[in-house]
Amino acid sequence: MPPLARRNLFHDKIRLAVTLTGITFAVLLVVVELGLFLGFSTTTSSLIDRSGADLWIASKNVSYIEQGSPFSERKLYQVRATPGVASAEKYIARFASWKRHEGGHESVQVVGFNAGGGRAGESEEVMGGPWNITSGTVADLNAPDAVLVDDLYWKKLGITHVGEVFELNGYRARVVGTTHGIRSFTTAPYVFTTFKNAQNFTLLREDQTVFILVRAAPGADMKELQRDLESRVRGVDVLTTSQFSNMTRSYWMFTTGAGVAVLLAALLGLVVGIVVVTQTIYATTMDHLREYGTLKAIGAPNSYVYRVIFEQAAMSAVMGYGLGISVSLFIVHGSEQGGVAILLPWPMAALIFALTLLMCGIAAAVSINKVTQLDPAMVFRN
Amino acid sequence: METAIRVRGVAKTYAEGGVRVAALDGVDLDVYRGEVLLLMGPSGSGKTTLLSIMGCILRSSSGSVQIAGLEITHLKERDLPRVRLRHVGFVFQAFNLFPTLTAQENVEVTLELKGVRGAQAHKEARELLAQVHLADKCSAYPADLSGGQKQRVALARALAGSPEILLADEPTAALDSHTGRAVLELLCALAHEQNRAVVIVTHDSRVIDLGDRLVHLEDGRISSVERLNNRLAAMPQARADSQSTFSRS
Repeated sequence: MPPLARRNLFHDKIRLAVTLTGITFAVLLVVVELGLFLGFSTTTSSLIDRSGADLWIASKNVSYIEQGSPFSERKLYQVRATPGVASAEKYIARFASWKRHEGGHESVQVVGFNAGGGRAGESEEVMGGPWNITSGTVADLNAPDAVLVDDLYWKKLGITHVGEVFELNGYRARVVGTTHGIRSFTTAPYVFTTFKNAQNFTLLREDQTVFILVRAAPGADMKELQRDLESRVRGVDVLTTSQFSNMTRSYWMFTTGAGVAVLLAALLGLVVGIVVVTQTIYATTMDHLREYGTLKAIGAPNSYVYRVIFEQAAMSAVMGYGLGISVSLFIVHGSEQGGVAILLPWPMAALIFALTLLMCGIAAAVSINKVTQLDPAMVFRN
Repeated sequence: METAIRVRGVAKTYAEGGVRVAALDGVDLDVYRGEVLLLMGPSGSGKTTLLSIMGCILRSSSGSVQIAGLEITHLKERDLPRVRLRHVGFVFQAFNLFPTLTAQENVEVTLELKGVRGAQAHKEARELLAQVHLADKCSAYPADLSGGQKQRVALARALAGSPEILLADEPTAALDSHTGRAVLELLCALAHEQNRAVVIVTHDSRVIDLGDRLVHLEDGRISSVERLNNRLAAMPQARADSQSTFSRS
């Protein structure tokens, strides 16, 4: 088959460059905005998603993890006594003030969990503990003042080395290790420590907890266990991990409007892409209008001409997507070193490829409308 | 001889600013296979309109048009491209080649539309270019060809798939007289050798000797039909109601 679409596309190098630039930036914009949305969304609920718990017990009407308020730790024993519960632990996630050496204060979120029995590299055995530990161990946290802080926030908190001592809500806190890539959605970094230490750091009464994490016994019916706990333990909400995760995400992404803004920006990227690509593909079609008229005059059906235009659009889409996603990968990689995560899982990459094709398809459809109206008799008019 | 195109009582009117203008008015004409018919007349006489109607590009307002025995006036719009593709080859004044394709690829476009693809299309395209003496220009782009060479590529493209009818609109207008004559000689020779019906719209009176018949149009009507040689002496007289017909040779 004569490569009419390809040749038409590559004939005008400047126009091709403009087309590809438009698509590349549209792809980039959509990747960054959707990636940010996904990154934010994942970050908001990472403590819940990575807790290893099946159920979360929180005070009434808590709609996101940062909103947790204290309740009596005696409920822990009611929970443990419930059939179908394999284990249950107290858990704290509360804000506190971190004092830097030079005198400044930073807000942090203290995460207290039961670190008993945790061994280096096997923190998933405990519920609610940190992950991606790069130095130190969960067991190291059992010291009365020990904390783990993610290396992304060392600079923010003025940490220079393991073993350094700081002041956390007036209590001594010693950095015993570090994690990598545990981001906080708020400006307050997570500081992992034992439940007991966290009680001190967050000024919580000794008989109180903020959450109870529950792991169900193997084979237990989660719905039934949830109902059972709700009826046995009064004054609290019993939520599955997935429910609490969705509630937290929903709060931060939609109730606060942060997610809506990011999604709107992604949509804007798509619209800008469609406009740019439509304009350039339309202009290319207009440039070749006489050739399309000739094709129709010699007997080409409309479908043949449409195919040429769609092929041009599809080739533009593939090249623009390739360029856009390549640049995006650099940005995504760069974001891993910063406090803001831009995620690009392959299903999202595939979705954006489909969106790029759709965007170019819409652009081609606009041009096709012009070609449909083309009178083949134009070939006789000079 | 076999009639390739039969036109009966064809009229074409356009609406221009609310006024109806008759571009053609009751034209009767037969074009035979193996014949080169020249269509002449002043600007606005309806030559190109008649050519467009015979090429199924334009619909007549009334009358009957048969292409290779097929009545096309009642065909649906979507069926006309198929008739053009199967029966008619076009040569345009401005060549209308695809500038981004080589000479061979330009010919292959028509072959592909006619269902000839791959190696067979390459072979046929090269053969057609050889017929128009451009065997060495298969890989050349239109921009690298002279006007005469471009028109010969256009001729090869028109011949692709062996249509029985060739319609040429001012094929020499963009060429110098020598090149134009050479192209027309080639067109006429191929028409005669391959028994095709050729209709050429031209203003160039210097090429009259290349045609077999000359039809004059004036104000949308055939004003005269002249037989230009005896080559088609056996051919039935073309009908041209109410117009004079005489032989020059």
